[in-house]
Amino acid sequence: MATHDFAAPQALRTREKKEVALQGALQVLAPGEALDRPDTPDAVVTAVRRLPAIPARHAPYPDGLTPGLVDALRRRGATELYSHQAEAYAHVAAGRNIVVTTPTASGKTLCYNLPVLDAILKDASTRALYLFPTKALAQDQMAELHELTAAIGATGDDEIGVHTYDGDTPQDARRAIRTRAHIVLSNPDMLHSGILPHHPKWAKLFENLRFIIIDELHAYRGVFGSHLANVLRRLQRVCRHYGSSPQIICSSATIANPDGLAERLAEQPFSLVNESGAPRGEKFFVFVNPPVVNRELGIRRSYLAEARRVAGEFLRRQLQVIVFAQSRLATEILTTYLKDDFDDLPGMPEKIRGYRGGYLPLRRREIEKGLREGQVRGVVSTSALELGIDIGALDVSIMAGYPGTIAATWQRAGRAGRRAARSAAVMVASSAPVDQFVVRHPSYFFDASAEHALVNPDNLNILVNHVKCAAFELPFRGDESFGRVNVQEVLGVLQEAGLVHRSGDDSDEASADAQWHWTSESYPADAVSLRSVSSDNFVVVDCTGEPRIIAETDFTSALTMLHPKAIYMVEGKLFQVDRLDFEGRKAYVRAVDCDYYTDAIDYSKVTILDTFAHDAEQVAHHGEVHVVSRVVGFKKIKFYTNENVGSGELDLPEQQMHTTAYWLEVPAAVMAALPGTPDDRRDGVRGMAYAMRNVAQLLLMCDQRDLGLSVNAGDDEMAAQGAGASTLPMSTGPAALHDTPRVFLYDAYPGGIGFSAPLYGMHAELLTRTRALIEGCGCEQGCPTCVGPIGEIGPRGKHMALQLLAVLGADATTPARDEVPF
Amino acid sequence: MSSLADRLRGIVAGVGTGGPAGAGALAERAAHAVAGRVVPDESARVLGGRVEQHPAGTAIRVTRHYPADARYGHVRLGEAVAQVLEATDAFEVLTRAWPSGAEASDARRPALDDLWLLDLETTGLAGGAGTQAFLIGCAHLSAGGVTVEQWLLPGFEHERALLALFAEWSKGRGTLVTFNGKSFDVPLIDTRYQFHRTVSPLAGVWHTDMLHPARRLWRLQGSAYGPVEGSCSLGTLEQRLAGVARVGDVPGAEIPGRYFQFVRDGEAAPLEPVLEHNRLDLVSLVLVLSATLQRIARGPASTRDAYEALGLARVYERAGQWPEADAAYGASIQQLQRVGRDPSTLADVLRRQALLRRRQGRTSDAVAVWSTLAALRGAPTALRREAREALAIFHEHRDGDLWAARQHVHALLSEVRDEGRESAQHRLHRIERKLQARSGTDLLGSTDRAEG
Repeated sequence: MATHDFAAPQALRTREKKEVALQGALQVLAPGEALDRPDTPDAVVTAVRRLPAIPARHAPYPDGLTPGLVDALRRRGATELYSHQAEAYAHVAAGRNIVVTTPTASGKTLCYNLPVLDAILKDASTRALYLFPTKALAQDQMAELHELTAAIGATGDDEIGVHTYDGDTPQDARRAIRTRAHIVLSNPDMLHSGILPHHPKWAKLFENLRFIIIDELHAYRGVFGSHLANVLRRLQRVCRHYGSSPQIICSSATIANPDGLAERLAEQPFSLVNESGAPRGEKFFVFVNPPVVNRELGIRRSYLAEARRVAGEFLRRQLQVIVFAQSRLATEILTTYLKDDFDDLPGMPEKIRGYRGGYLPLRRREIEKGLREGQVRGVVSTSALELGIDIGALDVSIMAGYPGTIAATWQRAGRAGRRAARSAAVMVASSAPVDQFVVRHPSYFFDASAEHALVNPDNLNILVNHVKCAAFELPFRGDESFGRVNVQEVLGVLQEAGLVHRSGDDSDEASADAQWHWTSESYPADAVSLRSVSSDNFVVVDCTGEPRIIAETDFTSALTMLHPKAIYMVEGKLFQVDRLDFEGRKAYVRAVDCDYYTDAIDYSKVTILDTFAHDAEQVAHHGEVHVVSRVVGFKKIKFYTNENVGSGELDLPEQQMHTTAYWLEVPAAVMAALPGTPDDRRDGVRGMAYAMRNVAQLLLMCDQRDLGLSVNAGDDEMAAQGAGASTLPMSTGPAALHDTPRVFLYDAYPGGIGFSAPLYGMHAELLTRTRALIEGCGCEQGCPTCVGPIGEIGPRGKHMALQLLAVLGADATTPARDEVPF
Repeated sequence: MSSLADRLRGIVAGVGTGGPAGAGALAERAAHAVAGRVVPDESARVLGGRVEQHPAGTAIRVTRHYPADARYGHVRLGEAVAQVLEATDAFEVLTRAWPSGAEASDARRPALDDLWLLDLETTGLAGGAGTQAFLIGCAHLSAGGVTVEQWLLPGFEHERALLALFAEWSKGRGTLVTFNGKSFDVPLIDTRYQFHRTVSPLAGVWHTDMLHPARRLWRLQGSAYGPVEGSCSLGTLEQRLAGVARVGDVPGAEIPGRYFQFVRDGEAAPLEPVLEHNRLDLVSLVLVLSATLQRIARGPASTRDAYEALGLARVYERAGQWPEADAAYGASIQQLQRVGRDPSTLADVLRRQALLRRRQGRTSDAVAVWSTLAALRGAPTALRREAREALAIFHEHRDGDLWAARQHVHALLSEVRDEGRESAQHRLHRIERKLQARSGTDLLGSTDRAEG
């Protein structure tokens, strides 16, 4: 909302003081240097960029907007709209779907609240459904909408009903919400399992549904996004049944393809609104790489300690700071550090707070309020505060560790410096390969567009589940389609399993007269979790005292995280797995006190089933593969030092999966032409593979566990991989030279989730960036930041990997970033 | 690369990985599936019914009459029906205890002889848009006996017709009686009408769900080992009330599967036991209704044990029939005291009676009951404690017998270990203070009062 600053003298002085303080802190971090300067990859501060201030661009309220709504907004301080808000309204008024991607705090929510409230005020039967990725965001938005509707002041029969509908909604309130709420704020999971299967009860909503709002669109990528796309297919089917065809309004953080993602998710055309009219203050963006303390082993100073130092410089100067940590554990550690440094007066309001999922809602609201009102001077948070929770304008955002994607980094940086004031963002790199690549190649971050968000709504495993849910909700017509896969064939197979029955005509042909009805007692939505491919979860039972369930794990990661003797961590507390009941899907754990964690050793064998495509040299390939994997043992790794302090063997069942993969074949001639012994050459392949996986993760904007790595280095059919990045593929048997070395990077989900195809398209860039990562690394013979720890990759691994990459055609210079092909 | 159908089979077989075994079994099963289709006329013949036509499709209607002189277990149907049709006042009590939901409407309460019963057989218990009623069973009562009407869905595409025919039949009928219909049958059928975007004929209908009164009356059963919380299904109830043991009854869990099979192969014969099950449930519900109304009409003398009497008392109390409730509690207490084997239920009934009397303002009558409870050997500590507290309060504040009050607090303190001890101590100090004050200033007065 456009609030115009009446800069009172007092406020001006405060702002000046803050700017001086900010300059002071930046001077200490990067002493004696100009604040806008060339990058220095080898220094501690590798980059300082100045992002200039941008003035506001306003637009008048559009004609025809309900006067009561305009009055309410004016009373709340918005004399005019920002230009993007007016643009969004115009698109919606013209009947178009839109995606709004403007920075944090640019008044994005008004882009959808304006047309929705206007429509409700003009026609009280209008209904809107808002979807948020988390319950907390829905609560936040409800509070904002309540303020707005209170300002409009419509009461009695004209009152605008705004309600959240999620797992926390009391049973007795649900009926009223179903029929009376104009705006229902919910989440995809609830829509999937609680609303769509019960659509007759929601007839009033669906008959009058004019708007679907999807907030934080960028959160719907990978498996979650692929599920959402199918939930939206079901939603639109149900809407058609009730005769409505709602418009869709999405808001997204900056990603490369917001409209492409929206179109893929909703299967409708979208118009993009991405020119923000909101003002932005000047911002400094600083990259910090903790200094090297052991050059040979490539060990740097702890990034948490470095983040503490950086945060201290700002906090000491009375600036309000948010620190983003990468895990719950890191959040707690940094909170403790900063409390030690700054919360020196017991009994006084706490100036430093931690914030993460798992805290009770009341406590979180209290912290958010403290931030808005300024009593809380510093907050350490997980990604929980990255999304649009209202915490007001902070001065500095510090990221302890690279957030993993360009989009998330800008999102977190955007938590500091709203409106006109000057602000700073600091990224402190950890020693993880991705972090090191980014911090040493600042242009990769600053000059590139954000990542593409990928989804694959036609992944058969996901699609089939939603076809079941859709058939439960409404019978399929004999000529109906659902996604790009031939749904009639899917239904045919479901009929074989007795889940549906076709009636209405005698043929098997596509026919509008025929119908497929659900013929099972089950409630299929219960068997599908949107946050994973299989909803076959393992529960973790703590048997230290009275047995109680403390966590859940999806099937895919259960064996690597919950194998017998594994150390399992919950909120920093350590548990050891006593027993894994594979059939019963339970792991029994006990609280323990120990100084190590475990890392599973996972052997996998990849068999090529079908090659979809390969390049002219037959080096890069894309196709379908069969992956057999088995957890055969584990390593014990000491906290802090990451020393390997022991290991164990395991006998666990094998897991199989069909998926899609990108793979690289090293031609026999290339292998033969490499210098060194056969062992050296294989070390080179493995070192290259290790680095490739990390670069691939960077290029794909995916989680580490989205992508599996398997290396056949020309010595054995079985290849091993660790669950964590610290582990290397290891050779397992005697050398056998007849095999062609292959590096497989596969989608770690049955059926594939859409990562391998773009990876195949990015083959050249993948190699070039892998070479840049290894070359740019300061270590001598290899370290966890590039090709992997020297103890596992061999003394010549780094050198050989570089040789190999050069022969395979990786360019020595970083190329311009290409479009990611789909 | 495997064909799409093969990959789909792998996924549907639940392997998730395309494992060949599951997919193979599925393909085999597909090959064995009998191709057939429902022929409504043929199905109607097999089930002893007729085809009803409607512009939106057809339904199979089966009508069965159970004459008044037929027996269900050891109960003559005519007697049960007569008990229901005559029990207008008892029905009134029942409806006060469990309002029908239609009280707010202007509609007049319909007469009892218009009463009808409903029971559905469905494709599942989960609810939601994909759960359908494939059989609607209704019964109505007359002097001649019980008539059951059933509508069977000959295929999912005929649902609109089925719903329309049922709406036509049920329009203008009287009070609806079900067993668990409030939470299952009625919402489910309402959902089907909403699904087809039409108005449910059950909207605003007077509805009495017998599950709740039946639970009050028959859930607790006496046994050699004390009371047992039994099942309260229609099957259990008909056995208790009429000695019925059904032979060859189809288990509820098999019912949806039988219907799905009928839809696939058109064979109606396996559905006959399902229709019979539905009819017997409706007849059984007539028995439950009549037994309930009979208890209410005739009072505790008609109950068979202390637990039924207790249940009846609670029904009366819920309906605001306080004198009747008190009498039924009394009957229950008497029987429990006579048998003397179940002090915990006895304590519970005493407590309920004492609370009821207090609510009626019958303080001294309540005190008598509290005293019995306080002296009851084997009573649960919490209840005995409550009685002592009530007595202490009564003596301290109502009749001023501070000595008696002190005695009860002492007894309380000897029993209370943890929480509650503090407040008892507090009470004791206060009573002691009052006693002291009294001995100093008003010794005579207190003696007077104690004697009075």
